[in-house]
Amino acid sequence: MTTESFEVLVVGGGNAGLVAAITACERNKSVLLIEAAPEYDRGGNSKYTRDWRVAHKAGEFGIAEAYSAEEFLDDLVRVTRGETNLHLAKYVIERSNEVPKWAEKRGVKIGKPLSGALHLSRTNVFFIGGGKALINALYNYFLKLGKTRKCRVVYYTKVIDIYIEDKSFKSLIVERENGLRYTIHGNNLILASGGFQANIEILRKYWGDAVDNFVIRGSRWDTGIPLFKMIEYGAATVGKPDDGHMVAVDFRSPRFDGGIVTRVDSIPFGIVVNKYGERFYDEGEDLWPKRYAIWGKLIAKQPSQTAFSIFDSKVWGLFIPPFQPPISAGTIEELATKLVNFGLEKPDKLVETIQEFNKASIHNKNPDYTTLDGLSTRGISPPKSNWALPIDKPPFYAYPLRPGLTFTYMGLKVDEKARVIHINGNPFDNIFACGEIMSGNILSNGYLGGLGLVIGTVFGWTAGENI
Amino acid sequence: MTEQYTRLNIYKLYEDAIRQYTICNACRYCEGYCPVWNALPLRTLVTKEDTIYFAHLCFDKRNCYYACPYVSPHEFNWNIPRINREIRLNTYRELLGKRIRYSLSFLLLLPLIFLWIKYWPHLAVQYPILNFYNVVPRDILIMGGIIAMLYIMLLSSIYIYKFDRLLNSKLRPSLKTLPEAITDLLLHRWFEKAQYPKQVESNIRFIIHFLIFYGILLDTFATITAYIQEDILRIPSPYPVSNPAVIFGLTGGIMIVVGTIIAIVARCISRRKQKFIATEFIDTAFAFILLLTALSGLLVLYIRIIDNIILMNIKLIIHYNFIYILFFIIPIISTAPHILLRFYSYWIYKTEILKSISTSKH
Repeated sequence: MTTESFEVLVVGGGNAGLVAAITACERNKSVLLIEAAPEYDRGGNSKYTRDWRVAHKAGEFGIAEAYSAEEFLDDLVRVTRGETNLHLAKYVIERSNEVPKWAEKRGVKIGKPLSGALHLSRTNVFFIGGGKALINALYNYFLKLGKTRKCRVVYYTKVIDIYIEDKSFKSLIVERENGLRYTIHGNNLILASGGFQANIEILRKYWGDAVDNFVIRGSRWDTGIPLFKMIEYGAATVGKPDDGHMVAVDFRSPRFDGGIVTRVDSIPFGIVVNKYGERFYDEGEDLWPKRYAIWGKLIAKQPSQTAFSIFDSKVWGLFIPPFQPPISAGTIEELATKLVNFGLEKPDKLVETIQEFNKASIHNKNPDYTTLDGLSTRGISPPKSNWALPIDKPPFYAYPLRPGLTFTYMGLKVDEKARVIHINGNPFDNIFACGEIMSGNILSNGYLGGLGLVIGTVFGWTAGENI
Repeated sequence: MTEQYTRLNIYKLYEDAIRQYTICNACRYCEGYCPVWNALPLRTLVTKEDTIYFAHLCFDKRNCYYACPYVSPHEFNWNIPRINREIRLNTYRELLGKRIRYSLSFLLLLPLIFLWIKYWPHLAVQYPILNFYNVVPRDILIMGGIIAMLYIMLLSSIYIYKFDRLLNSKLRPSLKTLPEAITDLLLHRWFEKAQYPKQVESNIRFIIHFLIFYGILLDTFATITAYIQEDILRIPSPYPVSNPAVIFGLTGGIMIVVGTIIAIVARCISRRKQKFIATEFIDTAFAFILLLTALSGLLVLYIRIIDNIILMNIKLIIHYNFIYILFFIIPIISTAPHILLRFYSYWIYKTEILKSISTSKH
């Protein structure tokens, strides 16, 4: 490995890295794909994806209704509150339509929308088996190309340093599983190494010790070393360093790699209290698909980053439960006592909060969770603007909550050729970025399901095409 | 991934199955792979009965295993293909206790021993005319056939009755879905593109199951066709090679031989490449006995063509013995009720899906 040199070095073996590597390889370049994870854990955060957001005509991909590029852009501008590079956003949206076709030709299987993700069935195209199946298909395809061309993968190999001279990439220093370090030379560098959600020490710089109470839902291999090395070399950044995609997850989740199954979706069906038993935000502010992405940060700002979603038997079955059953009890008092084990400090206050909430939520209409039904609380603060129903039908349930970080937003600034931009405004000669490491150019605020993967694919192509 | 679910910790087996399926129900990425993943989202809470139902819906395609980000060494230690197999085996045990199964088989071996003692002298005699019934008298063959049929019917009813009670399903399979359930299973709708015996998708599972299933079916047809000609149409055997009975028998025999050989080879590959999943699709003993039975049948045909009557008698006796063993070993083979339980759970599945479509429309 020390003596070999490749035309293209790709750092990161998730969707974006694979797409870039495949594109370059199909153009007869010699490619080395460097993946930090061992083979069994390859694929980074792409493992946890399930769909692409795709602009399409009516009838395309088996979706009856159209989703125009204009509507796609409107959605993007709305969730990011305008914080997006319109030029790059339009470019991604324009090419999004080719993504499923490209992937299908390379072994990915397109399926029907998943039950439980029906709100995305008009805008998103789903692949069977989720992200790991997607990753497996692309790896198989890439390795097959490697039988006749010089395309290789090395697993369990992390980048330690990057050598750049005069804004021109020269070589990488990598460390293999056995601790040995090697220098690899390459003519081009494509960075697809994701965010830095798994780098607790760097997160601590921005979040303080609250980070110890974070659940890292995303891949444990995304430590952001290439990102910070590039920043040292003067690369311009996009996105706030103390920001990321963060949702409410089950307190009992594993520290890393909990993925999709840790998310708690019971919030709009009841109330949420902090460790002092007090409500702190409107649980019924808007439809859940539009609100779930704010709850991670809301909980991160609560004392001890702890909260509890409380609901009753009336709503059980209306949402997809997370990977563990809720805490349950026959009375509110008993439930409150049980929650002490998960950090509830004032169980009496919780009982009081629920009594107050119940008094403020008396309606003689049935709730409709598919729309903003206007069944609001009266006279309490914060209000619950929709679906406010008394919590009174035993057994009572609770999910203890923690903030769950999927990925961080800060990334490298790029141009429409996927070239990494220096702070002086000029691009590096032969350094490209694709995937989560640059998705902040387009999405650095809010979240739009299925967009991240499309950014990865489109910029993966772009990087592979421009070397 | 070293943990074995033995009979001593069955409780733990179901507890773990519920834990793993609860993870699946929060993810649902595998929807579309097979009936298990289409049936799971229809419930919010997973019960022990659900896990038994899922286990028998599982075609052991293993696509879910390769698609799952939660397999070992992830702390969730997910391995549904394996746990499904454990549950299937446990169901077979629960449906009919080991002691009953073994005593049944032993009882049924007694007539075989009796026949062997009684007809042993005939084997050495060379018969002038080639007639199967000179080797083993016709009445005994027909009696044997009737006993075998009754026996299979009795066992099947016990299995279905007990399985239904085990599932404790509120859902009754509906007659409306019966034709579709049967067609799906006959067409092997769910077997294609399995990740067996290696990670690469292939149709090997489909081919194996198809060959063995239809091989057995063709051989059964062959027997029935021969019986009709002999007994109802009064056309004396042996029949020429162009006779439907021989054509069915020959084709079925070849299909079983090829199917079981591929199955045994695929098993060896899977054991090496998919050790971590550690599931088995068919009982090894069953595969071998099937193979030997089919081979002995083909040999009988071959010897008849080359016209060696002495050898013919011996081979015929051996072939009959294998068929007999095949029938009466069934209670010992743990996977024997597989076909019934698969059919019954798939029928329930079809009904469940139909019901969910009609409720979502309202």
